[in-house]
Amino acid sequence: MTNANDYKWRRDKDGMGVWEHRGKVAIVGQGHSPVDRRWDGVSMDKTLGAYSMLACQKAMDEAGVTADQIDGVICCDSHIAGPSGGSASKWAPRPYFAPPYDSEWGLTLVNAQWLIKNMGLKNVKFAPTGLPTISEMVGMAAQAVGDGLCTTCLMIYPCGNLEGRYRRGGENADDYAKGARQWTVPWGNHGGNDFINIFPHEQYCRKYGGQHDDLAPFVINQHKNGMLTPWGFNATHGIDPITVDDYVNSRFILRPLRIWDCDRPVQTSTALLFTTADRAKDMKQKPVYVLNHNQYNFKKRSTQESLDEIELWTDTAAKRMYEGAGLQPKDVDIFNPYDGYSIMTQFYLEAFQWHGVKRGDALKFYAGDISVKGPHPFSSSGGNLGTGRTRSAMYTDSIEQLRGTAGARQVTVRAETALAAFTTPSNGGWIMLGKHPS
Amino acid sequence: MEVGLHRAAPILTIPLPLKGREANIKGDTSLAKLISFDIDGTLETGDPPGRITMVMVRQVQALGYIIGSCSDRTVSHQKRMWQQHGIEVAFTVLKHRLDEVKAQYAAEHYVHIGDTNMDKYHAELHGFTYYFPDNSIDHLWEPI
Repeated sequence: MTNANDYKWRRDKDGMGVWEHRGKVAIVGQGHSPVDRRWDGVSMDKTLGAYSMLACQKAMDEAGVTADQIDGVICCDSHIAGPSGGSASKWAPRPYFAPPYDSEWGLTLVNAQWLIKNMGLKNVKFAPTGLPTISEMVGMAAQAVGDGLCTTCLMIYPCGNLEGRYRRGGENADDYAKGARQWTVPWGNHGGNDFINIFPHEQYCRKYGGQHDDLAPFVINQHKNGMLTPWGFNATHGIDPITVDDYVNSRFILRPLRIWDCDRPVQTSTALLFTTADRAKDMKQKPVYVLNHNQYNFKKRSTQESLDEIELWTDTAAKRMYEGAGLQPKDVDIFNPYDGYSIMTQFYLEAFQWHGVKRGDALKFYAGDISVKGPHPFSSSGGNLGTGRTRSAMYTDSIEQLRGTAGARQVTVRAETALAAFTTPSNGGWIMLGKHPS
Repeated sequence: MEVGLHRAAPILTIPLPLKGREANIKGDTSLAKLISFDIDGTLETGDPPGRITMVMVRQVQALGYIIGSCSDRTVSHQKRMWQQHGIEVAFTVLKHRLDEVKAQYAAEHYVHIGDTNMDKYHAELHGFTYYFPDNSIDHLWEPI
């Protein structure tokens, strides 16, 4: 099978111009599995593999595509729960089950090969390995279809979670930071944005004014939007919407980061179906066209990012995206940035200047009307904070908004273009979608 | 637009005037024991469900313990949970607010039962005896 590293699909440089396949690739199907808090270790119809197959089937059914038509499978084959997640991300040393659950594959990991075998996808000719997260996979799928490596491509993002301390197992559970870790992760974990973004967030408040708890309206709105997202964890589990009092009295995870600033790890899988614009015309769903995709992995000066760096990186990401899509900030109707930690979202909002928000304006913007029925329906998906740590709500909401099928979340403003991402300021990617191919 | 939010007063459920409870308000010399229950991973109503059933909660309350919940679940959720099960509790607080329980109730012994290291951390920080919800807590259900 093709290794992802062998295929030069990334758009990760400045000055690449308008994407050569702009409007020639479309998303025609999407599927969400149920969103559980964790796998219970018993229900074989709720494993990560079973949920991934279900998500694929939903995406195919939505588009009216059969298994024999699938010729591309792009599936993230790593742990969202982290390689050092311990029991939260690895089933072993517990005994495995009967095939196809006789290894970690299907339980805590899913890849294209496992899906091809267990879904009977006999005509797949493009199924790379060593794949990144959904932020980059959507770009890879779009590029692969545009380049003709495949014509009808499933992209799958499995998010697993078992019992145990999420990302706090393995070396992170050790009482000692051994070797190089004494310099890089002396607190046991430095990989999450919980730590990395705290410092620049506080720099942000000092530079532009405001305080951490000014994020409350944004976080509360994410929860509201999440309750309008029928498949999400919050909606399917009756999670109470939170109030300002709930927010400002909540426990600090890492001061000033509060528990409601953090997303909730879940067990779920999402699939998107990409095809050519020509093929999309004959499928069941109204196509949503890909207008551009970009990626980046900016070099850090140290283990600690600064506000200056983050503003430079996010400005660069926005510039690349607008250039590749041939659009400007005023052209973007739906804006679904990442919110895995609420403290980073303002950096994206200001960089992309959605609805005219400039550097230092985000907290004031949050205090206005950002509801889905208002004039500035910011993050209409509810993001991770409103649906669970799926990292996919931003994409599927964007698709539904452009189709006009977002139901109670459907915005009342124009919905012809959408920007969506799962990304950190330094690493990830964006995708621009359009209701029309040009 | 002006930014900044007013910080609300600390949340602590005002104890209902239940029979026998007033005797345990600080200042009285008659001391009971107090148990604080985490919810997720501890009570059967949690996510994941824990080992402690609502029947067990009623039993320990009948033994004379002052009981309540201490969780990251919102206070409104905690109150609703207890109401749905018809159990009147003395307190419903957020996980980092155990100190307020101790300030409000004089007890011979303060116990917090929860399944995470955060339960242990906050319990020990505020002078509660911490128990993981396994068979190490069975002795609490013996008559006091």
